[in-house]
Amino acid sequence: MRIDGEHRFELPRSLVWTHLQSPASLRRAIPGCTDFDEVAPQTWELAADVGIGPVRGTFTGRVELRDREPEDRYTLVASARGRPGGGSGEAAIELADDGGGTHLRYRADVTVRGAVARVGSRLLAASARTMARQFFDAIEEVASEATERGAAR
Amino acid sequence: MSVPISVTVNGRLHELEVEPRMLLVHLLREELNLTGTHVGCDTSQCGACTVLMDGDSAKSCTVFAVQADGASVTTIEGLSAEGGMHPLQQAFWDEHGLQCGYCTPGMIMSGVDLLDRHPDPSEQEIRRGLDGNLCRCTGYEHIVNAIRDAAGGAK
Amino acid sequence: MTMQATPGRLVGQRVRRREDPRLVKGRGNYVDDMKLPGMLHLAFTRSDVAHGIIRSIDTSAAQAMPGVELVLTGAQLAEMIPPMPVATPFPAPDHHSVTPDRVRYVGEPVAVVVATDRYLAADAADAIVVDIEELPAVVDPERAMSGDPAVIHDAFENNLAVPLAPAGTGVNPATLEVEDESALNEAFEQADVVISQRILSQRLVPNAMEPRGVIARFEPGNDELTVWSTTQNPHIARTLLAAILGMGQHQVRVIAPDVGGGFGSKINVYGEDFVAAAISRRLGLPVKWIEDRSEAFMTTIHGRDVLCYLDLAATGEGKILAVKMRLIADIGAYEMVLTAAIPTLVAFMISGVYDIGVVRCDLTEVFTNKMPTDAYRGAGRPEGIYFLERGIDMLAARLEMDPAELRRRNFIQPEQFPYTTAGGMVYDSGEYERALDTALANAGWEQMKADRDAARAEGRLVGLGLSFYTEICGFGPSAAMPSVGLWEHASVSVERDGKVRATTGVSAHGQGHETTFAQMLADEFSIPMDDITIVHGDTGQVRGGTGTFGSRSQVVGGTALLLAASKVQDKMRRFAAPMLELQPADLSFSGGMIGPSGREETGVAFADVAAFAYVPIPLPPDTEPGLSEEAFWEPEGFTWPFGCYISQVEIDRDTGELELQRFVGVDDCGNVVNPLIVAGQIHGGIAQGVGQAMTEEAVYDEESGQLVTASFMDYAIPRARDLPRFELDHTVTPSPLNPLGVKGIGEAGTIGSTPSIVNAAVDALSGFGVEHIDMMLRPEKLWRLIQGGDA
Repeated sequence: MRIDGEHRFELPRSLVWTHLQSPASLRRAIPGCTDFDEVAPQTWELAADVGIGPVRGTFTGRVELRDREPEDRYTLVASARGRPGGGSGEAAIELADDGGGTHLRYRADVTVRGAVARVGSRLLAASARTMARQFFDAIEEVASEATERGAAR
Repeated sequence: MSVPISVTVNGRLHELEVEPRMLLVHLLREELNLTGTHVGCDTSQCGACTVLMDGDSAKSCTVFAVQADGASVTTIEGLSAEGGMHPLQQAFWDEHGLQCGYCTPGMIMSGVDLLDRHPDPSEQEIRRGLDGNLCRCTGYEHIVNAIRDAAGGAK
Repeated sequence: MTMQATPGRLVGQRVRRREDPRLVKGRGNYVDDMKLPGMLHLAFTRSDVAHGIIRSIDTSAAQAMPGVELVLTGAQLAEMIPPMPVATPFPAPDHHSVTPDRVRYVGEPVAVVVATDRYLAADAADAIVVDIEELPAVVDPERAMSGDPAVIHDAFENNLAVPLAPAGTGVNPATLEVEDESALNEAFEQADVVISQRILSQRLVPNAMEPRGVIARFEPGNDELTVWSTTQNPHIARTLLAAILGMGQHQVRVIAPDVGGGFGSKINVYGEDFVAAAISRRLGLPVKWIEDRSEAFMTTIHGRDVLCYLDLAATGEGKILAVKMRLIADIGAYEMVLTAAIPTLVAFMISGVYDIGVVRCDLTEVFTNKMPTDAYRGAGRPEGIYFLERGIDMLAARLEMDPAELRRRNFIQPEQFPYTTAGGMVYDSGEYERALDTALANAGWEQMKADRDAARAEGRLVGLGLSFYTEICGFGPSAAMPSVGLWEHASVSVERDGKVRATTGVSAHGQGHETTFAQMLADEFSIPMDDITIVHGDTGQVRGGTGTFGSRSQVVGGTALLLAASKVQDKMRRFAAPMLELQPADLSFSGGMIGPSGREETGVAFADVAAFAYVPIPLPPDTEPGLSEEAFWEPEGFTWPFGCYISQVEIDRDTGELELQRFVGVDDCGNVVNPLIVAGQIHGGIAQGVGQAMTEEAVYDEESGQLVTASFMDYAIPRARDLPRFELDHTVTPSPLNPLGVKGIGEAGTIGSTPSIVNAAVDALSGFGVEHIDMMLRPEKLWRLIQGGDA
């Protein structure tokens, strides 16, 4: 399934980029994330509590950031599985300046299986967009907090 | 990690310890051996598990047993005295409102609730009132006839 | 055969069902309602990918859970249970109850857990970690035929389960060789009009309201296995269970208690049944498995999924010269018991009710990464009639001819029966024009057309659709299923108090045999129905049988029962004769008495003859004591019920939503034993046909092979509000092939309703240049057509 979307940050591109690549920020921003451990460079294993429509559960998975062209683009490769099934996908993410902020575009290809596919697939795109928005909002919040802390220091 | 509950089923009070995740339908079927209430799906669409909870119809597969604590539940077995039939049970028999019988208890319990709310329903009201109950055998027409008949509206 | 059915007192009456008092009071006894001492519960771990190779299965977490008694993988089970049986003449790949090495559809079982409690078993099944190396999946049969991107079974090149099975004019049925194409070519050359259309009869999920279930109890010591199963045919189940488990049939007893619908989906013996039996034998304890609905969607057989390239040749006057169907059946990932045979039934239907000189059907069956298909209500006949009746409506539109008139011009005429079709089918009896005229009159066809035209003039999208079906029924001669046979068995015992206990090998699961068969026997013996018990669904009590499917119960089971009853009657006459000092041949049954024909009231009471038969002093010569007889009966040919259905639909121009406003039907199933039950069968059949036309479609994701319609949230079986009140009537054309004159009615509604609704929808959209719409007729598809886009 193809899921496309975009997001606007009220923050400069370099700052957005930094936090999108930062393990500490990712851990805080991934919805429902409970565990987040680096297993290889730019690769983490994680656990998260996620709900897609009526299908809810704990998923474990792996996230890898590839093809990084700093502040411009990167590819996020992810896979996850849990009792309600699992899935895998790749998202191409591009950043661009947008006035004083940053414009982000993502194009993801996702496949799912198990109950997520059987029962949740109808709701997958909407859920994925919601989770993406939560994720980007959280990145923005984390980044803003860090900036404020830096400014206060 | 069992939870104590007390629930009245078909007029009889039961004090039980149940797992928090146990569904009411499994309490009825597995613990109380009231197997007239059936399980036809796992997403609350089919209505085979419909019972009355404090007088209103409820799908017992969407209710945890602990949520029935303090409630009064009526199942198909409690709808009429032994040896007798509730008017709806009689009407389902008279009008051939069932074939395999699997959806029937839920269908009848929904019918009871429907007639409680609309004592003299039109055909369309009956058909819409059965939205939450699926039957694969009858094509519904004889079920509609039975409910109309029980309402005294079969003319 | 000299046997004659007695003219009815009860036969032909709307008798209320004897099954119902227990069922309406919640006192039915379904498999899931039963508990046995020491019973364990099974749960299966299933593949969540459509195609792949199993790299490893980690069962350690499951095995460590308290209450888990046993965990077995497919590889371990393959050492206990051989591959599952197939009863069709085509080569089939090995199909294990639980796959040992490779998964080929979503939901395929890979391991089983045995635990003390159902919840626990499910938890443990979830805790098993299966590592599968994914392979590309293929779900489009035409793509699968290229062998790309996946070959599902190595031995079946290009996924061809049946590469080509031709039938019809110029085809040698013994060799399946096409010997002469000249007649076919000639017909198409001579035609004024040729209709060509690609038509899909889409994949459906049967969805009996009771999911499948099994309890197996092996008793060590006497080495007997008892299986309670949600089966439509306990005797076939016994045969297959015994064969696969390596036991004798005398050691296996199969009981079908109350069964909550089947519609063909409970003919098969499934992997879970074999596993339950094998595990019970291994542990010496009873085990139970109950399917949940999402498993039912994924792993109970699916129906239909046949694609047709139809070509129909006709003259300008509407005389049909030839019909050709090139069929591609998507049978899913494996073959179940009858999988490969079901699409071959389409060819049997190719002539419909029409006198067509040349027919030809070329069938290819293809494996895909989906659940296997098999018999679902109608099984091949709905597909065939749908393809043909769509083609005929397209011809009517092309010729601008009334669709009723076009059909009338092509009907096989009453004097042509028994009629042999160009494809070699022999139709027993039919009077099609009478059924058509009855339907047209009841519907008010001319007025309907005028009203439709008036509505159209106001801009409303009203459409009328007519269809005419026949179907091959009453299975049947054993030659049609040589692996099992297709006879039926019955026994009738008159006990010493004059009460009757009869058994039948057909196994009702909603059809009401306990009632209709008691009606028959009450008439035969002229005793009250309450004195008769009908026993079915237990191989321990019913000595022989085949089962309930293919609209055969009344035709074959009913006749076997009549035959057994007539043997008992003969014997009762021999006992009564010396009591009355008359000859047996002079005696008849009436009013609870056996006496001289016409004056039975001067004879002896039925119960007194029964008592004498068990204490026969003196015993009449050449007569054994007692009154118990059995009969096997097999029909010499198939029965062909028929009927005409008329639909009126209206499509909302703004939303594309289709409303079925009227449904008028005339069915002819020969003589009717119980009109109430026959009506119920027709209603239910129509509802399932409406479901195929309007709301049901099993959809697999093209890339991932995931079943995305796997719950009642995404797969819509019709609700009460989706259906209008049916306007039904009958004509009666008895079958000459059985003494009851019955033809079978279980599947009729499903067959005729679908084309009538689609024909109506196409008619409604004819103003948009629409000639055909593939099912299901979902609003979005219709809305796009209205917008002038491509559906």
